[in-house]
Amino acid sequence: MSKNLQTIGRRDFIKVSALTTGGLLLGIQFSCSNSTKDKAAKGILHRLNAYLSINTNGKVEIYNPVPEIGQGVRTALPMLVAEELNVAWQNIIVKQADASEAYGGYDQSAAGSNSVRFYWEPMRKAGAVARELLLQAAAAQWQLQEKVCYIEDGIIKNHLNSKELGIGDVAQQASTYKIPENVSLKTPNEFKFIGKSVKNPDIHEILSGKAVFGLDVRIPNMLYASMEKSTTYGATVLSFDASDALKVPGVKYAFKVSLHGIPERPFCREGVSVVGDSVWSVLQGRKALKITWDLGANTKESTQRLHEIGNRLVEKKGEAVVKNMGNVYSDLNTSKNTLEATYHLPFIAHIPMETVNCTIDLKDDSCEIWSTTQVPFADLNFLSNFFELPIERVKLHVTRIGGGFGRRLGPDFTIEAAKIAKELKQPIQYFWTREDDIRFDAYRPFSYHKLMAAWDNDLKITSWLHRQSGTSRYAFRPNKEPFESEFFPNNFPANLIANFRQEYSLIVSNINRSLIRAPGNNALAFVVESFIDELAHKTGQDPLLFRLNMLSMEDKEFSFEANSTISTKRMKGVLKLAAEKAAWGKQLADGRGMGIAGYFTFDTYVSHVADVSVDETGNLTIHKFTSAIDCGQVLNKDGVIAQIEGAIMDGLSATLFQEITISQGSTNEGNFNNYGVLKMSQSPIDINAYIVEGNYPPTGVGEPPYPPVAPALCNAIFAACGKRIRKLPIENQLKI
Amino acid sequence: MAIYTIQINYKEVTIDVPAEKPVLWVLRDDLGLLGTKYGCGIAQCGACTVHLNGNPVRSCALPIASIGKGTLLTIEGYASKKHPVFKAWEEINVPQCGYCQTGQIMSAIALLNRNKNPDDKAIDAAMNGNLCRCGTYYRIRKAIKRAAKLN
Ligand code: FES
Ligand code: FES
Repeated sequence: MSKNLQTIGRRDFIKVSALTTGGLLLGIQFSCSNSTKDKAAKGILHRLNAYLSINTNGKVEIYNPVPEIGQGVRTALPMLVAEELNVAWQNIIVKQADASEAYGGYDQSAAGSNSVRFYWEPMRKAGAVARELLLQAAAAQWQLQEKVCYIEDGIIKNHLNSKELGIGDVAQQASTYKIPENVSLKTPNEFKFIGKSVKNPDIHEILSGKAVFGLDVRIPNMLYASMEKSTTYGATVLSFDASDALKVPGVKYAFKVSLHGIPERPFCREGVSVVGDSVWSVLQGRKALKITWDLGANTKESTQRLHEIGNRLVEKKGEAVVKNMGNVYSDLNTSKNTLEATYHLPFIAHIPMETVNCTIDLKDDSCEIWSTTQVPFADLNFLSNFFELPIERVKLHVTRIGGGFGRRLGPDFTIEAAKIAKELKQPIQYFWTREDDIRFDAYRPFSYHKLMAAWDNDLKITSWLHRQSGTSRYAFRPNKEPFESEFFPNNFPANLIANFRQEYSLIVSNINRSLIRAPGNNALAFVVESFIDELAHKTGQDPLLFRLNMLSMEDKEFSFEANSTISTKRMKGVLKLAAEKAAWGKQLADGRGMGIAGYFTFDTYVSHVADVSVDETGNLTIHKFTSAIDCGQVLNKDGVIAQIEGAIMDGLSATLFQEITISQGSTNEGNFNNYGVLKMSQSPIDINAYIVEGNYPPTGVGEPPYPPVAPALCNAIFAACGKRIRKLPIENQLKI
Repeated sequence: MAIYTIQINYKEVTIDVPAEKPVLWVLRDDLGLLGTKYGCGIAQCGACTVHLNGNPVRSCALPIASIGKGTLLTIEGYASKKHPVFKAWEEINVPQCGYCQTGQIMSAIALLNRNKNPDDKAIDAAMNGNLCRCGTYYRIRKAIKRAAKLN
C-alpha cells in the first residue's frame, strides 16, 4: 500500500461531463474483479453510467455499488471517495447504484465480506480524479500552478495567497477537462477519514421511519402477492380450490406457481399464489385456500434420521480425504496420550428482520425491479433472461435491506416474483411472511465432527484428525466435491501439527441448504476452537498459552488459498490483544470463567474472550465479550466495532437457541415463538472491541467476527462450571 | 368492512376496513404510514410497536376494532417531535440494517416517558419484546441511558 502514482487506464474508463445544473459529472468504470477486467480488455464494456457528481452548491453525490444489508457499506465505500476528494462528510450524499456492469457487475454482491477488498482502489481513484480536475480548474482561475493548490474540507486553497474557492465554484469548469493520465492516491499517514469514524449517512431516514426498505416500495397501481406452499419439502399441488380466497375483499387472483428446479429438491417450492390490493387481503386469501398436496419424495426425511447417519459416519474413516500430512493414524495408534470428542451443529435459518421480497413492474418491452437482493447483478441477468428482455431494458434498483446473513444470495424469492409478475398485467410486490422465511429457507448445513488428537511427553500436539459428516452445500453441485464447501484445509491448526488429516463423508439429504454468515467457518470455528480448548485443559495448560505455543514463537505465513495467506503473527496478535484487554488469567469468583477463541475468516483475524457465570442450578449469565480484530487497514472504525458487536449477538443467538428440526420432510419451527433470537436481557451488558493496527490491505468485517463467538462462549462455560458443550444449541443444556 | 374513525398522530382519520384487520396493516396498507414494520405478525418481535394511549403495543396483534376512542402514535408522529431518544440514537449510531429500529425507538420512548432514569433491569423488561437481528442491543442500552441524561 505504498504511495503511488496511479495510472488511469482505459479500464478505469472515466469520462467527464457537465451536470445539467452546471456541476461536474464523473463517469467511472468500476472495473475491479478479474472477470470484469478480462471483459474490459476484450472491449466489451461500453456503458458509462457510474458516477460521482459535484454540484455547484458543493454537495457531492456518490453512488454506492453494493447492497446495504446493515454491514455499513453505504458509509465505508463513499468514505473512500470523500477521502481522496477532501470534502466534509456532511456534504456527501450517498445514492444507491442500480445493478450494472458499470458499477462492477458481479462485484456488486454483498457476499464474502468482499466489498472493501474489491472497491478499495476504484473508489479512491474516482475521488482522486475528481480532486485533480477541480484543482486544475482552480489553478487556471488563479493563474497558479496546480501543484500549489489543494483541497481542504471541500474548499480549494493554495500555498501562495489566501484566496479560496468552493469545489462547487469550479465544478463546471472542471467538467470541461479531460481526465488526467495519472493521479496520486494518499498514503495511509495522509488519511483524514479512513480509519476514523463517520456518521451513517442514512441515520435520519432510518430513525424517522422514512427509509425505504423493500417492503416499503410503493408504485402506482401495484398489487401484493404471496404464495401458499406445503411445509413438506418437495410437495406439489394436486388440486386447489380458491373460491373462498377469491371472496376475501381485495383478493384479485389466485393461481398455481410451479416448482423451480428438481422435483425432490426444488430450488423454489410449488404453491398457490394469491394476489390482491393489500397485504392483509393477500394474507387472508392465503388462509382461505384449499389445496390438496402430493407430498412427494421427502416425507420420510427427519433430523432424527440425519442424527443417526451423521453420528455413524464419523465413527469410520471418511469417504474423502480432504487433507493429509504425516501419518495421523499410526501416530494416534502408538501414542499414550490421546483425546477424542464428537461435536454437532444443527441446521440454522437466516431470518433477516425484513422478510424477502421483490417488486416487479413488467411491461411489454421493459421491466423495472426493486429488490432486497444481495446479488443485484446476478438477479438482473436472471430476470433479463427470464423475461426475454435485453439487459438494457431491465432496471434493477436495490432498496435499503433489512438484514442479509446470506439469505438474499439465492434468487428463490426473485424467481417466484418473476413467475407471478409474468402472469399479470400489473406491477406486484411479492413477499414472504416470517413463517415462509423460516420454513422455506435453505439452511446452514447440518454436521457431525469427530476429532482425535495425540500429544508427546512435552505436551506438544503431534497429530490431529478431523472427521466431518454433513449435508454439504455442494452435495449436488456438478464439478465440486461435497467437502469443498465444508472444510478450509489450510486454516489453523493445519501446518502447525506434524500429522494432520481431515476427512469428509456426505449425509445424503434433499433438505435445502445454503450459505449463512461466514459459511463453513461458522461451524468449523466452534469445533476446532472447542477441541483446542479441550486439549489445553486435558494437558493442563492455559488455553491462551496453549494456542500461542501452537502458533509457535516464530512468525510464519502459509498459503491459504489462491491470493490469500494465513499468518501466525496476526493470529497471535488478536489472541494476545483480546486476552490482555480482558485481563485474562485474573482470579475470578467461583462459577465464573473466561473462554477464548480466535479464528481466521476471509483474510480477517478475530478473537473473542467471553466472560460468563454459571450458578449451581445451571443458570448462565453472559457478562462480557472482549474482542480483537485484525482486518488490515480500517475504513470506518465505528462500523468495524458495530459489526463485531452485532456478530457477537448473532453468534450468541445461534449458539444458545437456534436449531431447525425436520419431521416428515417438514420444518417444525415457524416463527420467533419457536425459533429463538437473542433478547436484550440475554445479551452481554459489556462488549469491548479493539482493533489491531497494522499496515495490511483492508479486509472484510461483516462475517469474520461471527465464527469465534460460539467457541469463546462454550470455552467460558467450561471454565466457569466444567461443563463441555459439544452439541449446539445450548438451550436445553443450561438455563438461559 | 366497517367504518372506523381513529385518532392517529394527532389527527382524526376515517377508514373502511374489516374489523379484525390489525392496526399494523391499517397503517401500512390504508394510511401509507410505512415506518411501522412487519417482522413476525404474532407479537413476538416488536418491529410493529406503536403507542396506544401512551403504552407500547404490538400493532400486528391489535385489531382495528379494539382501538375505540384510543389515541395512536406511530414513529411518524414522534419523528416530527424532538424526543431526546432520536438524538441519543444518532450520537451512539445505533442502527445497522435499521429495520427494527423504529419499533425499538417506540419502546424506548414509552419506557423513558414513564421512567426518567431506567436501570439495566428496567431496560431489559421494556425492551425484551423488541428483537434486533443485527444485534444492536449493546448500543440500544447505551442510547437509552444517554437519552435519559439528555432529557
Ligand atoms: S410484527 Fe408485530 S411483533 Fe412482530
Ligand atoms: S438494526 Fe437490523 S434488525 Fe435491528
